[in-house]
Amino acid sequence: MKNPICIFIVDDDHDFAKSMADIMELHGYDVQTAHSGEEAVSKFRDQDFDVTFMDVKMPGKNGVESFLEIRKLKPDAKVVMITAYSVEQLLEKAIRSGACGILHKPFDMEKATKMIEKLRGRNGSIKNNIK
Amino acid sequence: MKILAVDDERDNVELLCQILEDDYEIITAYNGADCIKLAKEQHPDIIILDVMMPEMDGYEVLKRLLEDESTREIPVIFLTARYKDTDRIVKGLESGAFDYITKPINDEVLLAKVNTAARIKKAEDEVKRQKAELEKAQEELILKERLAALGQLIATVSHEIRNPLGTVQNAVFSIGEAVKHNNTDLIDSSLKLAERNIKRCDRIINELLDFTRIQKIELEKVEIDSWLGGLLDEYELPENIECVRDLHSGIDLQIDREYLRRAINNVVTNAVQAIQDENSNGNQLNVKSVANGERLELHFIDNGPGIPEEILEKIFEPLFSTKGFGVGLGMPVIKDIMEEHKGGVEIKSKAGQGTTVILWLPIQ
Repeated sequence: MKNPICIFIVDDDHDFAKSMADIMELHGYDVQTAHSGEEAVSKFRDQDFDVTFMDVKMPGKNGVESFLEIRKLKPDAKVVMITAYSVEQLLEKAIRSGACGILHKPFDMEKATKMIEKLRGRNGSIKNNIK
Repeated sequence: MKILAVDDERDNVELLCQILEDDYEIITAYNGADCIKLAKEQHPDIIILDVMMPEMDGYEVLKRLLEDESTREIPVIFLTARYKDTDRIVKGLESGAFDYITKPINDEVLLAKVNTAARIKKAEDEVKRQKAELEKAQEELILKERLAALGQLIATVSHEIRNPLGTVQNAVFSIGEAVKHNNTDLIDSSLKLAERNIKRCDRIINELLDFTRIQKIELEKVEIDSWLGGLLDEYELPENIECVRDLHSGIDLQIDREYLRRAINNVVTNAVQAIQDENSNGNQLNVKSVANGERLELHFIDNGPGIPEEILEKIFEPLFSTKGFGVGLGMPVIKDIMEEHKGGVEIKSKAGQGTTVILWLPIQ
């Protein structure tokens, strides 16, 4: 039996993370959540995730800083940035450093699941197709 | 530069013109009334004014020039025939004349004094111009800061509202799927998520409106203790929080019910959130009303985690927020409301020791 795909959702807004996790589970994915950059980095030390959705604006370590740290730990990590308010320079930095894409809240979950399908099965080097 | 030469004797005026016309533009008058009229109309830079004139003498003309805003700043050089008469000279200078020249007129002296007056007038005009420029630049800076703050506010609010909107969108999708598969648990939890976040949007918008809207308060006389008790009855506090009341001030006050309700609402909400915080061992909210000298004080005491000093310092700054949600307008709004009532708000807190918020009003 195939291992279910494991999705990691990082957002300081507990409700948003839960609502997104619910839908991911409906699609048959395994889901884990974290509510801070620090928690996310810590979890990445112990496990791997197929796709991570990382909120940009969080108190403490923001999403981009966390992403960069995670990349150091796991260079193959596939991370999609999600944002409610785009801080352009931060987002550009994330993309330049290899983030797999950006989603703007509120987004249709179909966009998220489509991204997962696209990124699924890719391993090794990560090509950034999103301009 | 333009000089207004005034003397009732035409020969004298002619002489002044001859001496000065190479370097200055000259306009002339032969009596006080015309002098004043021309000064207002033509805005000369300097006025050379004979003292001894029939009808209106130089002192009277100077007095009138000084009374009028448009001519007050023009330096006036008196022409006086009696140089030995120091009293008159002193009187002239004290009454606001810039300088004096004695007749018969010596051209070099005249030119020197006029040139000096001209230099000073130029310098004064330059100062005035720079002052006006500086004021304009300051106004523009203030406007820019306000726009920047407004921009920041709009960005913050947009962000704050997009989060709950995203949650509601997701929850609605989940409900749709859950209905198809008869998953009542998911329907329930998603409905709760949606409802909570719709309320959140509403609260954020209210905070914003409060912040921009506090203007006229409408006062009515209210028995504070019973009114506050009624408010507390309306709040649905979480089960793990005990609310202990001591409402025995016995004071009646003129207040705006709606605004004060909002302020108290904010304070109670903050206290509840603090107690519910994951770092808190709190379980109690104490509400007390007490007459303290000239103040009626409403104390809201929670045993939550307290507020560290570096946050306490900033707590009344608009847009400052440490919470994951909320736009950081609560405290400044409370402060505004209390100050509209001629009262105030005080916060005492220490990390680890809970927080006391005091809303106070003057006892009338």
